[in-house]
Amino acid sequence: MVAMDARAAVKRARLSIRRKRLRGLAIAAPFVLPGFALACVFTLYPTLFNIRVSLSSYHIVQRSMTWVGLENFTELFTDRGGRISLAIRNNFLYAIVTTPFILLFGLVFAVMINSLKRFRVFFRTCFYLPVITSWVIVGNVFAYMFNPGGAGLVNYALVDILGIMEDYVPWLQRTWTANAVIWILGIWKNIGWSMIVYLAGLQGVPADLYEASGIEGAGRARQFISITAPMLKNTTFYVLVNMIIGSFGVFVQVLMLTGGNPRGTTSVLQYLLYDKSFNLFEFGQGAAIGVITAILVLITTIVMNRVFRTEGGRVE
Amino acid sequence: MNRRAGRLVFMLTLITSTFVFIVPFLFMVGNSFEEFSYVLPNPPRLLPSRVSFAAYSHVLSQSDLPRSALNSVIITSAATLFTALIASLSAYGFARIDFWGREPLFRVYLAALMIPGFLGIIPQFLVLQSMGASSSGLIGTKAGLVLLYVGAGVCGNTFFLRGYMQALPKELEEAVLIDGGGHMTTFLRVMLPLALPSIGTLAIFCLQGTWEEFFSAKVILGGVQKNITLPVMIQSLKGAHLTRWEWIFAASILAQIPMIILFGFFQKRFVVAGIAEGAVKG
Amino acid sequence: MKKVFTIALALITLASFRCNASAEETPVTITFWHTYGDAEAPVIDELIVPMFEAVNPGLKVEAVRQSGDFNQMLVAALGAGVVPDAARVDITKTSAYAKLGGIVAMDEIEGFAALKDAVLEGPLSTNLWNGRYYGLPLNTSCKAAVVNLEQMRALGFNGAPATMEEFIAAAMEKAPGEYKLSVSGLGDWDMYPYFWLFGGALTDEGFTKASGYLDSAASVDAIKAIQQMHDGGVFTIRDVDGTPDAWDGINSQYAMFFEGPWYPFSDSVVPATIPSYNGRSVSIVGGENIVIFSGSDEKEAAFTFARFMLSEEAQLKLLEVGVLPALKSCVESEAVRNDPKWSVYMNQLSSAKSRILTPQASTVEQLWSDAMSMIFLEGADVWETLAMTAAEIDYELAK
Repeated sequence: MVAMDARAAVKRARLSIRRKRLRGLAIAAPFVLPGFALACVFTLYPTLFNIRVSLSSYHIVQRSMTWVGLENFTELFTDRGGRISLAIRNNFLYAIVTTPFILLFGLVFAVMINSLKRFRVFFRTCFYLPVITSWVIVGNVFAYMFNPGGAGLVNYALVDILGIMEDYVPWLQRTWTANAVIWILGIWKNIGWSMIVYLAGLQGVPADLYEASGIEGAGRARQFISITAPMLKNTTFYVLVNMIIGSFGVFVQVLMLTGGNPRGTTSVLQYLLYDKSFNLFEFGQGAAIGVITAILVLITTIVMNRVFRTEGGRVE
Repeated sequence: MNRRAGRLVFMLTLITSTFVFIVPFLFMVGNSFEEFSYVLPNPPRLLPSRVSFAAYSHVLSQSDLPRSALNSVIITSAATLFTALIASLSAYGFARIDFWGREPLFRVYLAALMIPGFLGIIPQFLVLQSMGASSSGLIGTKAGLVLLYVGAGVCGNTFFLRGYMQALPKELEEAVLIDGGGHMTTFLRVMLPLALPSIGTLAIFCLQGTWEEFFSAKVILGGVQKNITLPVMIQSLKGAHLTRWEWIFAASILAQIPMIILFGFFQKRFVVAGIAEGAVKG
Repeated sequence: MKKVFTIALALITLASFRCNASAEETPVTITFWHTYGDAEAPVIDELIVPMFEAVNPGLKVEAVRQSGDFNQMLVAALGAGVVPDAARVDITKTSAYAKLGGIVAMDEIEGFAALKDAVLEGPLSTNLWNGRYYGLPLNTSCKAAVVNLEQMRALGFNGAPATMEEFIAAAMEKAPGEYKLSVSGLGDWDMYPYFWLFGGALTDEGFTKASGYLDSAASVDAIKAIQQMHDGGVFTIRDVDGTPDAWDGINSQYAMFFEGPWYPFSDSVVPATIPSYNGRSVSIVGGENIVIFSGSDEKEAAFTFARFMLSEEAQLKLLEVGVLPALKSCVESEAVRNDPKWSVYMNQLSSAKSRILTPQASTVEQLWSDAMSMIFLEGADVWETLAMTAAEIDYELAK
């Protein structure tokens, strides 16, 4: 008797759980479903499609795939030019070099502008200008500014006006100067964004904290170190994560400035993907690069979570 | 005295860095007044040798510019509107409704954020082609591009807004639910007004991103001249062999103006305030 | 899957946005993609298309001007099967599109044979893949010497020098260390003319093998001759030396560079035949073909358009803005012969060589640039580098 009852109760409970689930889904559907359908069609399906392509030889016109296993991956890593390793190296270098500058200058400019009483809008807009300017436009302008000869604004300024350097530098034609220009463009384009986020973060620092310290006669620098900086920890974390993850998406700079030259030493993953797919028609290898990128981002995210978890933040 | 000197140094530093920062724009503006026979001047000029709007009147006289500007306005506003709508609905669902499979699904959304952007262009292209009646489907149509923008951004935007919505106090909506109102009522009456600053932030970012987007716009619309957007149009001014740089600069500046106005107007209200509300708070 | 998409579409109800593609109407519209420049595109839109539509009632042409990323655009279009009917594509890309299966073999279309005999053979051969013709040459081009007369005078020449030997000697004597000859980069279009001029060879006639040609003693000597001219301070490579671009510098410091007919010439900067070396002048062939897509529903109409584009009328109209005709009959026409600019280019064409014709052209180009970077930037051994590159090109050609 007791056992029967229990079984019936379990059954009833199961039924009610199922019913509850369905009801929950029905309630959530109008909210979640439109987005979900779009995500399926434009993000999830393309992703699965690409994983499949990365394991195939893909014939784009016939839309047929022949299974080749990991061949695309092995071809990428055994290529004599070593373009994939160079690209991965450059992606990490880009993240490591640009992020600190973006953080530092974003913070400095935000604090400076925040302490202004007038012209805030003007300065904010100036620093935000690169953010809202199309990559295509800034790519064109930078290509011209870093022209190899005296017609380049940078060479002209450094050699003819300031006299800092003896000779014109072929910025975009040498591996390291070209990488430097790619970094500079990345830093320049993103500082405004980091500044805005820091400005927002600064609004969250209660004014009475400053007042209290002002009475104690703390200097500005002192104030910054002991009050402002700790309050901005989460902001910093937010900018940091966005910039590092964003580093894996670098593409237009390379396309417009160097095309990966010389010899793929300024290439990055996204550019290589583009080059393989659209110029060399190696769609399988292109998709494989996409998969590799996704794996690298995943690993980076996990590592960042580990490193910063103690700090209280968390990358979702 | 000391204080005033400090102030002076401070302002000088700020003005100098601002100047260095906007040099590329000064360069662009200065050179848009010039006339080049396909090569930029050597030595380069930051200040123009003349003030002439010839390049501006040239690009404005091309029927392509006003038309592609209109296309950009239509596509950008539609994409922004639908993005804001769908992302806020979806974020509300993930933040406030406890439905079966919510967490795993959300993880899938997060994972999707790690996938590099245009890798999907060929399958997305196939999807758009399979929609609609004609053989090319939605390829070459504004609707197709809008759909692609909204769809490709849905995971990230849901993630962005969910954070804000979770942070809002629950008491208010509980009152509505107790009064017998459903989730839709709560969403419309309580959540939307409260989350408006952050939705505004999302909208501004979406607006900017869509306005300047080149790659997808080029691939989806590039074959139908009457539907191309501004960035595609500007890039097409770049010839195979010869480029009139002053035209490109002039068109670029014109394309920039709406975004500058928009940002100048909304920066305090949405951009700064919206971010402050959510993400950067503990 | 299709159902899901339809549902998604319905959900978002964006359908109202769709431009109303008007229902089947009588005139057939041919979509034609091209990359004609600022001066040329208006000729297409305002002269050629109206002319075509006038003689072919019932046919309409929508000419779409594409920019530098044309290739990527086409690839995406091929991927989705949403292609134009016809396009003007670079000669080096034609066989790659053919191999992808994106364009049709034209020789099966009626009327092809007559056109085939009417066009120049060199440019025609760029359409050949797997024994079939996948297009027709629409226009041709090649490089000639672009000469700054004043600079040449300073070097003791009245006009362009006849031979490279005397040019190099004069530059070394009269302007030591001042670069007088300039090239932009190390890619094929930039470097092949010099490589060929100094006696180098890439492959056999049929583009089947690079070993034995690219790594031959003659090729090694050719690269060494370029190196010598470079080290001797006569010849500058912009991407290696960081010198001003040729387009810019030809108005002041350079005496000569090689460029196609699109260079905006002036009274003091004029075209001339490339000076000979060892008694031989050499140039490089460029140009575009017209192709018809497998996905087109209007192949016949597209071919009618191609035929019109190859009419003397259309070819001569385009010549006025500097597009060199691919039609044999135009080469000998007055318009070409009497023009000081076009006659130079049409003459030079007889000594212009083609790049390696293969569907793998882009990979081959990358291999070549890599090799040149190694030699000119990293100081790698010439023979070793060429031998390795030859082996790699062999592998690509065998694909």
